[in-house]
Amino acid sequence: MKYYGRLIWLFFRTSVQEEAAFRLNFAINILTTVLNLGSGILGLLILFNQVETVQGWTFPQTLTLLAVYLFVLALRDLVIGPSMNALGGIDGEVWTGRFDYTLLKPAPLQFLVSVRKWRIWAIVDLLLSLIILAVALAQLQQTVTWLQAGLFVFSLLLALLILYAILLILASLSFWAHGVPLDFVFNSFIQLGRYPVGIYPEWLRLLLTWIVPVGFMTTIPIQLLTEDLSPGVLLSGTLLALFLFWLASHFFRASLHRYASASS
Amino acid sequence: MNWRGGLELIRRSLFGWMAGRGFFWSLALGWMMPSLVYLFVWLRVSSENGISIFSRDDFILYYLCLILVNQFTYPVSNWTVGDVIRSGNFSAWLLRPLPPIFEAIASDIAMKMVTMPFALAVVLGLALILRPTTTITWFSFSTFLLALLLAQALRFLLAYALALLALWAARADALLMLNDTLLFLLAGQVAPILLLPPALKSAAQMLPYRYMLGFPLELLLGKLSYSQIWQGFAWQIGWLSLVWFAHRLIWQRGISHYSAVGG
Amino acid sequence: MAAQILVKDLQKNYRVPEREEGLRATIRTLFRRRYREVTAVNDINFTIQPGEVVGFIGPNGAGKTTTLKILSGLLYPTAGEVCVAGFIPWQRETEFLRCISMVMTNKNQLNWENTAMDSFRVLAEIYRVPPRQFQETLAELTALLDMTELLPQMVRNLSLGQRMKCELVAALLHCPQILFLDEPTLGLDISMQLNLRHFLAEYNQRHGATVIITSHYMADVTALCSRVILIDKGQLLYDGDLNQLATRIAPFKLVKVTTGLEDDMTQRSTLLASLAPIATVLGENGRQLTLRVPKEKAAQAITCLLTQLPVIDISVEDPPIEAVIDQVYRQGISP
Repeated sequence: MKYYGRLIWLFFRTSVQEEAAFRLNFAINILTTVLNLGSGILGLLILFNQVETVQGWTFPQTLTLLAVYLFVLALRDLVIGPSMNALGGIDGEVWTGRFDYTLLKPAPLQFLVSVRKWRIWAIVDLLLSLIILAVALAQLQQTVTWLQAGLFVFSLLLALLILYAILLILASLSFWAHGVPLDFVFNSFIQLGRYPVGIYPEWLRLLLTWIVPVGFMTTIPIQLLTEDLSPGVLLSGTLLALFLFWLASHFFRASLHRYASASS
Repeated sequence: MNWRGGLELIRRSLFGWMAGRGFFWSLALGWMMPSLVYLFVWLRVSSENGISIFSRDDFILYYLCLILVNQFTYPVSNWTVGDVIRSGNFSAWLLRPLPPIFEAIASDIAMKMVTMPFALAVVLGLALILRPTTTITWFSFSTFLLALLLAQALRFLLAYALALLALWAARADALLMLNDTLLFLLAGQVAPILLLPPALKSAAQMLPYRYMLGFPLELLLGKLSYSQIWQGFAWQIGWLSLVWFAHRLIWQRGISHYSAVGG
Repeated sequence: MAAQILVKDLQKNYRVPEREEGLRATIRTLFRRRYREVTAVNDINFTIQPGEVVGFIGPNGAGKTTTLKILSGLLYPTAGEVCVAGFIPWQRETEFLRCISMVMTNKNQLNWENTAMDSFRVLAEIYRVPPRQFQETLAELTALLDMTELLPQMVRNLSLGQRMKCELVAALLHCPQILFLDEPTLGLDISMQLNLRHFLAEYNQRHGATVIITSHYMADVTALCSRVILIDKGQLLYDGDLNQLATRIAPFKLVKVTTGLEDDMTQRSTLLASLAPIATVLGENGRQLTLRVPKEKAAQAITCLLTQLPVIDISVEDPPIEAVIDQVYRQGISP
C-alpha cells in the first residue's frame, strides 16, 4: 500500500539527512570500509602464505567466500541491521526507555521497527564486495551459468531473510534479558562465517548450518556458484528461512506482550 | 600513595561492573571470537604435522592462552575515560584527591575481575575438548608472567593516552580504528607473529602491538632463542617508556586545553 | 454525556528484583535472583468527561505514571476494566492510538539528529494526517507557542524549553481527543512554565481535548486543573476540586500582621492570650506576627487584631497548597 511505501521513503530520507549532517562521517565511513576490507584480505593473505588450501578451499575460493560474507553483512547494514540495533541494541529504545513512544504509534509495529533506520553508506560496502567477488570469480576461471547466478541471488535473499529473523529474535530478547547486548554477541558469532564452515569440528559445523545459520548464509551461496549443490539443500534452506521468519514474528509479538505486562 | 582510596575505588567500580555482568560477559565473548575463529582455522590447516615451528598442540595452546592474555590486557579506557571526557563529567574526576589515572586503573581492574572468570571458563571448556599437551617450563612461565605484566601496562597506557586525546581533539575515531586494525593484524591474532610473511614480521617486531599480546605468548611456548628474548624485552620496555612519555605530553597539553576551554 | 474515560477496580502488580548491599549478597545474586511483589495500583475507580482537564497528584512512586500508562495502552493491568474513548487501551487498535497522545518527561520522541520539521513530517505520515490539515494544525500550534523559528533547527541544538515546545507540537499534530502529560514542566524555567500552562488552557478551550496531567508543581495543577485525583501508594485518596481538598485538610487562613512603633508588647501578649482558643501563633519576628486561624473564625480574629493593635500592614492568605499536599502525602487523608 502507498502508506507503507511513503513511510519507507520518509524513514530512508530521515536517515540520509542524519548521516549527511556530519561531513566527518563521510571520512570515517571510508576509513572503516577500507580498514575492514583491507584487514579481511590481509588476513587471508597471511593465512595462505603458509598453506595452499584450507579444507580444500584455495585462496581464490576463500576470497569468494569473504566477498559473499561482506556482501551479506552489507545487505544487513543497509536497513535491517540499523533498525534492529535502534530497537534492542546498546543505547537502543528498549535500553533507554524510549520504546513507549514507538508503542503509541498507530502503525504495525513489526513494520515500523524493521524499516525505521537506514545506513546508506552500506551501498558502498555492497558495491565493493561485489567487485571483490567478481575479481575472485575471475581468478577462479569459473564460468557461471544463468541458472547458477539466479540460484545464487535466491540464496542470498534467503540469507537475508534468515538474518532478519535472527536479528528480530535477538531484538525481542532484549525485552526479556535486560542489559545483555545479544545482537553484539550474534555479530561476534557471525565472524565464524568468514571461513568455510567445513573447517570447524563437526558439532560446530552442524550448529552453524542449521541452528545459528551463519554457515548457510555464506558457505552455501558460494557452493551454489562453484559446485553443484543438491536441490535438497536449497529446499531445506527455504523451509528454514520461512520457519525462522514465522518464529521471529510470533516471538516479537510475545515479547511486546511481556513488555506491556512487566515494565514500569 | 593513597592505598585505601585506591581500594575503595576498585570496590566501587566492582559493584558497578558486577551489576552489569551479563553485559560484560557478552562483550568478553565478542572479544574472544576472532581468536576462536583463527584457532579453528589453524587447527584445520595444520592437521597432523603442524606448520613450520608450530605443532598442532602449539596452536591450541597458543590460541587458548591468547584468549586469556587478550582478556587480561584488553583496554577499556576509551569508554571509561574517553566517554567521560566527551560527556563532560571529567570535571568531577579532576576534583578528587586521586589523579584520574587511578580511576581508569580501578575500572580496568574491576572489569577484568568480572570478565576473567568467564574467559577462564570458556578456555577450560575448550581445553577439555581439545586436550593439548603442554610444553611449558618454569622458565618460559616466569618470562611469560613478566612480559604479561609489561604488556598490560603498555596496552593500558596506550589506550589511556589515546582516550585522553578527547581532552582537546573532538573526535579521535580514525586513530582508534587504525590502532585496532593494526593490533588485530600485527599483534599475533590472525597468525602467530613468527608465522607472518617476512615483511609483516619485521614490521610487527618493531611496532608496539606485538609487545601487548603476542610476545608473552611466544615466551610461554618457548619459541624464542635467548637473544630473541633479550631483544623482545628491550623493545617492550622501550615502547613502554615511549608511550609513558607520550601520555604525559598528551595529559599536560590536554589538561591546559581543557581548563582553558572550561571543560 | 458519555464518559470518555472510565476506570473500574484497576489493579496492577509487579515483581521487582531486589538485592541487599555488600559483596557477599552481590555474588549470591550472580546465581539466584530474589523478587518482591509490589502493588503499584490498587483498586482505583474514576470517570472523566470529554474536555476535562484533570490533574493526577501524589508522591513519587504513588502509581500515577503507571495509571497513565495503563490508560494509554502501554501497560496491561493485573485486574480491572478500563475504557478510553470507547476502546480498551491495551488492545492498541489503530483508531484508538490515533486519538490519544502522550508526552513523557525527559524522554524525547523527536529525532535528535534531525530538524524538528522533519520529525513532524514523518509523524504526520505515520498518523495519516492529510497534508492540508497538517499545514493548518502546524500553523496554529506554532503560532500559539510562538516557535516558528525553531522548526528548521536541529533538535540537539535546542534548549530544554524549546525542545518541550517541539515535543508538544509533535504530540498534537494529529489533533488527539485525549492528551496524557507526564510531568511536562519538569526542569523548565518560570516563563516557559507559564507559557506552557497558558498554551494548554488555550488548547483545551479551543479543541475540547481531554487533558490528564501529572505534575509535582502545584502551580501547574492550580492553574490548569479544575479537578484533581490524588493517588498515594496505589490508592485513590481524593477525587474532586483542589480548593475543596485544601479546605478539607487545612481549613485555615494565615494572617500576617505588622504592627507600628506604638506597639506595646504587654498589650500584644494579653491580646494573643485571649485569642488563643481560636488563633495559634506560628511565628513572631519583632513587629511581625503570623497567626493561623480557622476559616470560620478568621473574620472575628482579624477584627480583634485590627481594633486592639496598632496594625500598619495585614495580609490574609490561604495556606500554601504545597504545605497542604505535603501534609496529605505524609499523613494521608482522614475519611
